[in-house]
Amino acid sequence: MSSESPSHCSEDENPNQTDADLFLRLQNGETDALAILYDRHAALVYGIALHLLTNTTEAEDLTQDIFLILTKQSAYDPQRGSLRTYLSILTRSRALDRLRTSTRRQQKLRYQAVNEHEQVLFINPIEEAAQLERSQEVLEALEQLSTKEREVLRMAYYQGLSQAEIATRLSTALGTVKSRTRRGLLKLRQALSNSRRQS
Amino acid sequence: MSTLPPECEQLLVSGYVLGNLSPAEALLFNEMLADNHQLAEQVEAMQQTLDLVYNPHQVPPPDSLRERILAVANTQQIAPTAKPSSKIRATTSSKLSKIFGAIALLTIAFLSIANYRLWRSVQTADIAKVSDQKTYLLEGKDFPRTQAKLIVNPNQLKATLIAQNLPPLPPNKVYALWTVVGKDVPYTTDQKGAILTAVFQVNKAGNFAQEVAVPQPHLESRTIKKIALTVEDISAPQNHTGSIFMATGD
Repeated sequence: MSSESPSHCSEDENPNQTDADLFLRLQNGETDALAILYDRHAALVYGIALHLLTNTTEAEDLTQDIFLILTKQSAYDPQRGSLRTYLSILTRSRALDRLRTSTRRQQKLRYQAVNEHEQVLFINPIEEAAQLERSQEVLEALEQLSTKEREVLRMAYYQGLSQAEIATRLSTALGTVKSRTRRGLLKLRQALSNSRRQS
Repeated sequence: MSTLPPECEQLLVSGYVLGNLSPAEALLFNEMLADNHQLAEQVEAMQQTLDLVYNPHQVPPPDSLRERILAVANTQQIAPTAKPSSKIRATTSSKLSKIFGAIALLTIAFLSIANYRLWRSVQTADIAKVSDQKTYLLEGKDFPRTQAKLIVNPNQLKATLIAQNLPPLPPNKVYALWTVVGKDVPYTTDQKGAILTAVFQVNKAGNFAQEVAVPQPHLESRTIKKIALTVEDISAPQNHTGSIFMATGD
């Protein structure tokens, strides 16, 4: 796959090396590949970590963990999905784990943060957009989706639930969940693209 | 070149970006990608959409963090993983990609046709509801302490594979799990009437546990004659040359 996000790295000297190529090189011990992957995706990983943990030291610590995970394990399958999405879901999931296991003194505040995050799953798109500080353009795109499409996208992408887990929770067929998430993302892309064309 | 309708193609791109392609879809998508380089641009655009909507908080980390992470990575012993393909060395990234890609494609090729049928049916109709969870216990005559269990959820064509006390294998070998259905059934099988279902290696203690996708015959367990485990060459487990190491009873 082409590097999914060259625009996220102004000094990417290896634009022809895909994330999948780099991941496979890294899995074979070529640690220089890590530097390129870091340059492409660090702002995403650190941004999610900082947003949820609200502490720069902990966000740096989690960012380090996430990139070192790439050197050790291979849960990511480059044939089946993008590395950037994998990193995003992994970071969010690990950050929420940290919030849940924080010290007692911090727990009250942190539980509140976890709850606020999870409430995002149940509120309407206007509240959700406000909570996530989204733009008007994104809000309008989200409103093009059905409630069910928004729901499965958030469960897949925000909670990091597998398609099978979502199907079980919603008592829905697995194929329906897959189809809804894909169609939802496609509609978002089309809506944002139309919006930019008009402006 | 793909002959898929544009919307189907876009839905595959969406599935890739969301990370939820099935093995058969992944095979198809990667073939399409090799034929059509513009598809990579569509992946990029779809990924940017996902970022814009769900990741609006991108923040560059402090410069010092990069050096720290790279220093830790360089001091760690980065061992290749247990993935069969990870043992392969290549001198260039493109060569490495081709080797990994070839092995991955060969490994899932047998699964792909059966799973592709499933994909098509999932896209067009509800999957037939079938019975509850089914457990297969595999036994080995020569290794009485070994245990392997496949717990299948036929509704989702997924299973949990648990193996204990299996002898660790040399690096060039893997365990291969087969769904044996015989030849007189409407499924694509190998010459032994089997469908490659999983390939794995055990840890030093001889254990392995992981969720795996199972092929379509598991929708109707009566079509399955046997679940069997063999030892195969890491480079071509689909050749099915090993004799049965463990299997369910007849």
